[in-house]
Amino acid sequence: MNYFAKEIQMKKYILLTVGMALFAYNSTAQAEDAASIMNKAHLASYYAADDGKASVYMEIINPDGGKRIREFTILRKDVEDGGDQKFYIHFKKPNDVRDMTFLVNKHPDRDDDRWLFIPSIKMVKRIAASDARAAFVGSDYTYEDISGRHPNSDNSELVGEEDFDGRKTWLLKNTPKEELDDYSWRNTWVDQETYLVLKESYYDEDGEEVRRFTTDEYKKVDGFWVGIAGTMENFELEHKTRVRFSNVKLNVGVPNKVFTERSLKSAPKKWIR
Amino acid sequence: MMQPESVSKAAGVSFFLRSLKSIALAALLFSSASALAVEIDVHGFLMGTASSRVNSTPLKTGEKNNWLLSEERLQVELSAESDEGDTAMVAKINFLNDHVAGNADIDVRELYGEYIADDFEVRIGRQMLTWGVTDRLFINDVFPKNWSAFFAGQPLEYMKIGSDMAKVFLFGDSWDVELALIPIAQFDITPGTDRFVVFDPGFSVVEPENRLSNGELAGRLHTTFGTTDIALYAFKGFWHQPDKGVSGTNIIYPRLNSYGFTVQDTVMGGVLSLETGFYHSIDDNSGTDPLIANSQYRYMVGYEREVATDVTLGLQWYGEVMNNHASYLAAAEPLFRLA
Repeated sequence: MNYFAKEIQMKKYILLTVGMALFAYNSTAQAEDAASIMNKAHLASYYAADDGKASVYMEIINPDGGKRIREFTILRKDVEDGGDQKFYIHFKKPNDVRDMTFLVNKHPDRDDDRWLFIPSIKMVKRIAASDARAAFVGSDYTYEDISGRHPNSDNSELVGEEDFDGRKTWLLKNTPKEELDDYSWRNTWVDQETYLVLKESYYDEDGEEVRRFTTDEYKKVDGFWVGIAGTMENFELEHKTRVRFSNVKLNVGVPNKVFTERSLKSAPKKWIR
Repeated sequence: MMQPESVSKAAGVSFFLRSLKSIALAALLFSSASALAVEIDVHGFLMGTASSRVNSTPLKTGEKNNWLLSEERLQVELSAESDEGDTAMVAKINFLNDHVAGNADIDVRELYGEYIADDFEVRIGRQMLTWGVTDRLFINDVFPKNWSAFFAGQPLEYMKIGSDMAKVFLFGDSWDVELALIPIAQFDITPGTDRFVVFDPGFSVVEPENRLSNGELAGRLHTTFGTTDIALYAFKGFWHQPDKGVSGTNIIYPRLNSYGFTVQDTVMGGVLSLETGFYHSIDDNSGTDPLIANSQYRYMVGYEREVATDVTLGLQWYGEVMNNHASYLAAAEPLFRLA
């Protein structure tokens, strides 16, 4: 039972970590239509450079302020911009998931391929794709809003331009083409210079804000703008999750062989430090 | 015939000595590591486990003991690696206070050193291997299991037992090979009358002599075609279960060679798994010796998928087909008539 619980928990981590993809920058700010803006925001958020690595520190915060911590290293390599990607995720904390490792081959057009390494019995287990809207372990992220919802899944409408925290942004209204259970539409504030999503508010059918994502901090890393701190809040559950990246490096030349079963059984120490 | 009690006591003592030797080795390894100013990571946990029957059942020993398990266990894991990350050492040691057995014990779960190069690795010492795609059924995972821990309700981790071995791991871009040389075969731990209500024929267990030709060899080749994982397996050694051979009033472990393969891929949002193996019982090749297990084929078809948020459903169809079944029947029939 212990093992199943762990596995389910870990499945959820994948969702989060895939979404921890690094944010990038595109300098041409000009009159654009909504679809083009959302597309560039998608690329900026999830496909910066050709590869990257980062240490991730995550706090899952209860309504009473209680915190649970997760720490992991994530390695990413793009097969194609906007297309397939590979992820290697190695957990450091807490102790009960230490050395647990995920390998994910992300395919936007079909199910992802995923493998999990369970260190206590030295077992590599192939795992099934999760429900895209599933929330992970008491966290406030869903799989999809973190692994990158494909821009084609929404009807996007440019509402206007707004100043947000001293930044010029485009405000877009995105309505899912297929009805979802957890929200009806969302407003997205995209920075005009960096194409980073600075804020995203999710509304239910009554127009009540139910969830909110904010980019809390971003900086230029190796020539790309990267969001390095973010928060996802759930107002219904009064629950939130904070994420902070450190040690972010882009275009570091992570070799393909890092993204293999071998690396699950024997972690590439040089890359996960 | 030895009394079961003295058998288990003797086993306990030798096990303890083996553990002591390993601890001394661990101390030596880590003291030399600290001499080189290598950082040692220490992790661990303290766990209390208890499981009980809901009714009162006398065990064979005559005692009424409703506890299958009642223990405290401290797991300490020490690990160290060189600055370059090419050499590393790991020791995972359990200190336990077992109220059912009425003693304290030390269990060296893992203790190995490793050298990691670009395209190969060597790992020497006590370590665990888990092969195959079945879930709690085993075909190509021929490595020893602790069924007593499993049925008593220990965490899954304790179902596996480490073996002392030298393992070489070789890799290319799209394939990898694991080769394990196990000089002294390690056998399954099966539920005994100390904790379980089981039939005890009162036989002694005779393990193979410790000599080089009684060592075991296991190999696995893994590759991927597109998104499909494929692996081939081979093993030369012994059956690890005590129900596979009898000689006089002794339980023996007959020789076993096994070969098999696994295929696994994502299909319709779930994971489809196939595993098969041929167990060649070479001490009873023709199947005419009723006291030694016949050869057999084992196969498993499995499918696992998430059916609701955080609910995964896994189905497995598993089969064993005895080879030379007619010979077995013909040979076994007179035995039962005598009985």
